[in-house]
Order: sequence, then structure tokens, then C-alpha cells
Amino acid sequence: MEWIQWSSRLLLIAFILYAIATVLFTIAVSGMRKDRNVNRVAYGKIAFILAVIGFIAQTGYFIMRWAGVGYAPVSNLYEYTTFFGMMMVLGFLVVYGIYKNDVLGLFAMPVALLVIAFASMFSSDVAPLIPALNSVWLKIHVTTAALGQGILAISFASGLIFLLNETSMRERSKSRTWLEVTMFVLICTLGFILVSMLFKGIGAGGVVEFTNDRGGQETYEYFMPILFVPEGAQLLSGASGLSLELPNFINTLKLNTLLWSVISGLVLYVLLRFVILRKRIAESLQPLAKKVSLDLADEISYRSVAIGLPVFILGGLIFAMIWAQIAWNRFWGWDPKEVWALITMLIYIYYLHMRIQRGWTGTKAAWLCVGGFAVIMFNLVFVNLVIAGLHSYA
Amino acid sequence: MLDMKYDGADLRSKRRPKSWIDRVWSFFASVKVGLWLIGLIIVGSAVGTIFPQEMYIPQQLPASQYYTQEYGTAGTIYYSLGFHNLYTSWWYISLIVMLTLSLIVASIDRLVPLYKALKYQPVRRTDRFMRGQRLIGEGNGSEAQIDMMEQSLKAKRYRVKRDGDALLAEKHRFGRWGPYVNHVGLVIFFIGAMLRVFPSFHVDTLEWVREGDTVALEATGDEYYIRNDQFILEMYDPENNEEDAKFAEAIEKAGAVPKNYETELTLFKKTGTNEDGSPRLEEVETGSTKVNHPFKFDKYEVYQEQYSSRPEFLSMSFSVGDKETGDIYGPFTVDMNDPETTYDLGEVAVSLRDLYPDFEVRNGEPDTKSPRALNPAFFFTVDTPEGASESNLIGIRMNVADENNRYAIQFAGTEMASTSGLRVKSDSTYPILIVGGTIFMIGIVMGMYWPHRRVWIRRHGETDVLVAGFTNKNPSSLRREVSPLLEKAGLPIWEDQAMFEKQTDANSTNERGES
Repeated sequence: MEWIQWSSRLLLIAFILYAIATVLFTIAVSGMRKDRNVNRVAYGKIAFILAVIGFIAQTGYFIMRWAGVGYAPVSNLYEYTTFFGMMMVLGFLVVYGIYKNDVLGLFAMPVALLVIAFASMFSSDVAPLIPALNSVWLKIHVTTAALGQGILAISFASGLIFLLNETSMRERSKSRTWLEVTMFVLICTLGFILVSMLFKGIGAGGVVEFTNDRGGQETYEYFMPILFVPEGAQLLSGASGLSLELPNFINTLKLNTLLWSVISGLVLYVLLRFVILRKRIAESLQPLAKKVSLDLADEISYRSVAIGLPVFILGGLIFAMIWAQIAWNRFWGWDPKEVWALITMLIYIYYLHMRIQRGWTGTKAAWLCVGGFAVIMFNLVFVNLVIAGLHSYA
Repeated sequence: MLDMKYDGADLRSKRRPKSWIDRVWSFFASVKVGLWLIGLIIVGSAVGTIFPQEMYIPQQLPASQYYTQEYGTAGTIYYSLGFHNLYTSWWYISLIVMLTLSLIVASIDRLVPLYKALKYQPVRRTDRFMRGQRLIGEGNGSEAQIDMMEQSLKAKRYRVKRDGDALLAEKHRFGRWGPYVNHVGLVIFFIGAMLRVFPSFHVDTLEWVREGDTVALEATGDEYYIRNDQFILEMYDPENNEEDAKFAEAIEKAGAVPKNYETELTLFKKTGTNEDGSPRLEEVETGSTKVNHPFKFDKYEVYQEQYSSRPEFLSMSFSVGDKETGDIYGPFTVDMNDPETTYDLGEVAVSLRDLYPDFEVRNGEPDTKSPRALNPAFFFTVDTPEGASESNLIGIRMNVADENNRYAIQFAGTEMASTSGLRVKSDSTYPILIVGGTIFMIGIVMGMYWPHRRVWIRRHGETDVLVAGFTNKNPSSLRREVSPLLEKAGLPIWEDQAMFEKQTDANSTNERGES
């Protein structure tokens, strides 16, 4: 247990260092009008060094948790998502090493922070490994796939930079709308993290019992104030609140969480947009994104895909097939996770081929990088939590 | 800027189509068509994950009812459109086949002309060609400076060719073949996957083997036999196992968690037939198969796939008591696999009239649910020395007999065994898949990690020098590599004819062109 405690402490240290690095990247890009050149370079350098130290701390977390649980800590949603965040930071460090671009840090690090914070919303209990996962391929397949996804995620950050730079904020356009939607989704994720911590802290949830559509008794344990319950549900503990009854083929527990995330996201968004910034979120970020030329942003996207995709294909498809053959005696079974890994690969393959096609580079390509990241997150979150399959290890 | 995709080579697909073959060729060679196919496959694949595919639904209900019951109207539509078997539907397979054709045609269409164009490329290029490159510089320079540049480019591992005062430096040309290599790998992989349609390429059977039993493996054409020596089901035990103690909390929450499923087995080979018709078996080896560690022999693999959660009865023993004298006869043992009709116990004899391996009462009559000895019941008659015949129906916690019977049958013991579900497989397409997958991966790495880079320098007149650079990816890296060399040699530094900055200008004047 000693190991686990130390690993948690190191993870917290890494998180704080990443946060400080993000702030310093922001200063390096935007602030310090006086002595601009000197300070910018210095701040960027310190931010990079802090990110490296943070990464080392998180590697420490990984090793110590491994020692504590006795297997590669990538076996459930908490461990995997944390590791994915770590691989995003690694992907960023690699690409930063090539381009030394602080703006990239300003966009990539917050996304990694969000991913790691999101991971901590899942149970971090030390759970025994089921026989199906007990294989050397757990470490080989899962870590390689996560590394590939982490590098691919950098193309999301640079794709965003490209779009924020290129989209005109003065006139109405699809790009302007969807950029704001993208920002809203990121803010909802932040909202989910904040309300989860808040409600868990004050114990605002409750437990209900109901008869499910197969006739069995089931209980839902809510961590957030209850807005929706299944038909005919009995409150076992906690406050009932609004408690709207819904037909019970709908999973009201998940709907409840989703709605609270959207509500909190809306509150944050309205605060930011109408009180603090007084303009579109995308518009506020635009001056920062303008500091990178479109060509460079496009090249960074392309480069992260070029580096990340082979790693992802190796880990997420080839190693996956080898392990599936050994564990489930078929290398491919159209399990949802497998299908979505295939879709991830196809999206980036689409991206690479559309660059050969005239006139399809630029904005369309940048949107595809955003879409690719959305697919990666979909495969991580929804395929585990909503679509049940062989990979539901949450 | 010049279109440098295939080095300006003449592609068959870009010529004016003459015959229908040309048209089909152009169709499959088109990147746009390829993109459409990939897009449709993405959408189709995603649709297949909305509800579970038929192979993953519980088997109690037929699919025609399952989707409606579980997902309502949406489920009915899903089923009626055939999406419950989407990945084997004719249209999904057609998309994959068309994509394969597209891979083959597009590769041939481009590979041959590109190969020729790069093989016979001149060192001295035209003004128009050089000015059409992404990186271009113009200024003054001398022959000596170009000579110096030749040396520094060689130090950066460029292959340098000279044609008088013109220079061509090139590296990583083989990266250009990456896409074609990976396409070949993919095509091989698809062919391997499609060969599995033919039954002769793979065998796959599930064998239920009870502990102690020896069964012929159908997948091997009954050439091999396997004996289940022992089935092991091990659970995490935080109380008694020190290593598992850390999991105590999680197990308390989630309930018991299995740690290992394993079948210890002995493999036999059939060498002939005994006189009584039974196979003559020769032991080959002993081993075990567990999840993630299949047992391999010859070209076959044995996977621990399932197990029966209820052990089966191998045999049951009984004794017969005389209620008047208190004498006990027996015991006798009924072997579930090979029961006898009569058990002679000296004074009395017991006849087995009927055996129900998995007892139930159906329509008021004793019957059996399955042929597996999960809940056996026996209909015995005891033949008394007096010549009477007393009936007994005996099962687990059940003993139905006439009160006036002189003899009573009692349980004397049981022997039980677990049953393991072993998947026996052999697949001769694996080597094809492995070769295809490996070539694919090599091609991907070749194409992605080795950017093709070229530098041209040309002098015309006494002092005018043109410098141009090409790369199929990451122009800023080429710039960073070669610009310092140009500077050192005192040659003109090139500029990036950026792609997007101009587009942005075009945007503001509202005449966005596809340059």
C-alpha cells in the first residue's frame, strides 16, 4: 500500500507541474510586452523543463503503481486514461523538441491536464486482474496504443491552432460555429470534473432501487443530485431532489451525470463568454493562435499524424490482433472497441490521403484532426461506458 | 507552385479515357474514389456498433425478437435492415473488395511512372520547374561555392549528382515507395482474410471434455485425442493468500474474482485400432491450456474457452439395507458413462431400469433435461430372495419408494468431475496474414519516417544562381537542415513559398482559389 500512496502523490505533483507549465506557456506566448524576446524564450524554456519534470514524476507514478498492484497499471479506465494523458504529454514533448513552439504547449498541455483530471473521476481502487487480462500483451498492446493516441492527440492541438488562426470571427461560418461547439465540449468536460468533485465532497448523491426491464432488482448509486430516476424507483438513501421518472430502458444514472456536466458547462460558458471575456471563446483564443503561421500549424498536425499513426496501428491494431488471437482465439471479432480502433486508423488514413487530393488540405484537414481526437475520446469513454463489449473493463 | 505529387509523371488514369477499361481504371485509380470508399467504410463500421451484432446477443431469444424487445422500434429497424450482421453483409464486403481493387489499381497507376520519373530525373532542371518548388532562392554564387555545397550536403548523407554547374542532392528516395509497399501488404492481408471463406483453410471446433475423459479431436480428423486430467478454477483469495491481500477491498465490493482457468491435459495420437474396435492411443505429451496460454501441438492450438460452472457426476454409489434384519448389502457403484443393467449383491440384486442424467418432472413423468450428468436420478428395482421386485426412484435429496418395501436403497458416495470447454483450432491463413501485416507495417514506417528530400542548385550566366528544395513532408525540417549549409557556402538562402498564407490573403479578398 506504501507504493500506491507514493504513486498517488507523484501523480498529484505531475499534475501541478503540468498546470504551472501551462501558465508559463501562456505567459511566454501572450504576456510580457516589454523585453518581449528575452522573457518569452525564458518562460517557454522554463515551461518546457517543468513539463519534462512533470513527465518524470508521472513516470514515477506509473512505476510505483506497477510495483503496488503487481501488473502494468493500464487495466481499467482510471489507469488507462491517466496513462493516455501521460502519453499526450510525451507526444507534446517530442513535437516540442522538433519545433520549439510555445503556442503548441499552450493548447496541448491544457488538453492533457483535462484528460488526467478526467481520469481521476474513475475509481482508483486496486483491483485484481482477471485471467483474460493476465498476459504480457497487456503491457505491450495497451501502452503502445496509448502512445500512438497520445501523439495523434497533438494533431488535435495544432489542428485547433490552425482553425483558430484561419477562421474569421467577424462573419458567420460553419467553422466559427463548430469551433465554439468544440470549446463548449471542452468546457463541459471541465464542468463535469468540477461538479463531480464538488458533489462528492458534500455527498449530494443518493441510492435508488428499481425493477429493471428484465424484471430484476437493480440499484443506481448517484454521486450527483438526482434529477432523473427510473420508473417506480424507491429512494434508499440521500436526497430525492427533482427526481423525474423516466421509462427504464433509459439509463437515468448516465443521463443524470451527462445533464449535470452540460449544466455546469453552460454555467461556465456563460460566465466566460458574457461576463469575463465578453466575446466568443474561440475569438479570445484567436490572438494566441495567430502567433503560429498556418503552414507551421498544418505541418505540426501532419507530423504528429505521421509519427503517431504508425505507432497506433502497431499497438492498437497489430498487437491487438495478436493478443486477441491468443486470448479469445480470434484475431478480429468486430467487438465495438476493435471497430472504433479501426475507425480511428481509417480517419487518419483518410487525412493522409486527402492531402494528396487538390484543395482538400488546410481547413478540412484541420477539422479531420479534431474529428480524429473526438473518435479517440469516443472510443475511450463511450465504448467503455455506453456500448457494452468485451473491452468494458471500467 | 508545381504539382510535385508524382514528379509530374504521366498517369494512365489522367489520360483522356478511350475504352471502358480506361474508365474502370480511372475510377479505381482515383484518390477521390478511394476517399469515398474509406468514408463509407467508416460510416458503415460505426453503424455496426450502435447495437450488438448477432454473434454477441444472448442465445435464449432469436434475433428477430431480441432487437425489438431490447431496443424497441429502433431495434426492429436495425434488424430489418440487416445491421445485426453488418460486417458480413453484401454491401460491406463489396466496399472492402472495392477498396482492395482501388489499392491495387491506384498503386500500379502511380508506382511505375513515378519510378521512371525519379530514376531518369535530370540534374539540370528548367527555370519553371525550380521556381515551382516550395523552397526557392535566387541570387549570386560561384562554381566554387556550389562545390563547397556539394561537400556539406554529402556530409549530411545526401547523394549528390553534378552536371557541370548544376547540382542535384537527394536523400531517402526509398521513402517514396513506402505507400506502395504498405498497399501490397494490405492486399496480401485482405487476400489472407478472404481465404478464410473456404473451409479447407481453417478448422475450429469446441470440445467439452470432462475430467478423466478422453475425447477424439474432430478438428484433427480424429487423429489426436485429449484427456482432461484436471480442470483448475482458482479465485483470488485475499484472506489466505498474502499476495492477494491488497485486493481485499475491491473483492468485497465486486464479489469473488477468478484468477485462473486452466485444464491440465494429456495428448494422445491414434496409431491404429484395437481388436475390439477401440482406438489404439499413444501418449504424445502432457501439458496445460489456460486463458492467454493456449496449448500447441502439430499445427493445432487448444484454447481454454469455457468451463461448466456445475460439475458433473462421474459415478454414484449405493447400498441396500434390509429393514427387517438391519443387514447392509453392497455398496455398488453406477458408472454414469457405462451403467450396468444389474448389480448382483449376493442376497439381493439391483436392476437399473432407467437413468435420468439431468432429472426433471415433465408432464408428471420423470424425464431428463440434458444428457449431461448434472442432477442424476435412477429408477431401480430390488429383486428380493423371495422373488418380489420392489421399485425405487432415487435422486439427489429424493427417494420415492413404497413404505412396505423390505429393502431400502441408500446413497453411499459420489464421484464428481468438472467439464472444460476447449476450442481446437488450426488456420493455414495465419502465415499469409502475418506476412501481409508485416509488409504493411514496414511500408507505413518507410513512408512516414523517411521523408524524401531533394535540393537543386543551378548556375546560369556568370553569377546568377537558383536554389530549390523539395520534400514530400515537413518543408520546415528541410529548411532547417539545409539553410545553414547554404549560408555557410554563401549561396542564396531560400524562402518558403507557403501554401496557406496566400490562401488567407485570397480569403480576405473573397476569391479563394485552389492553388
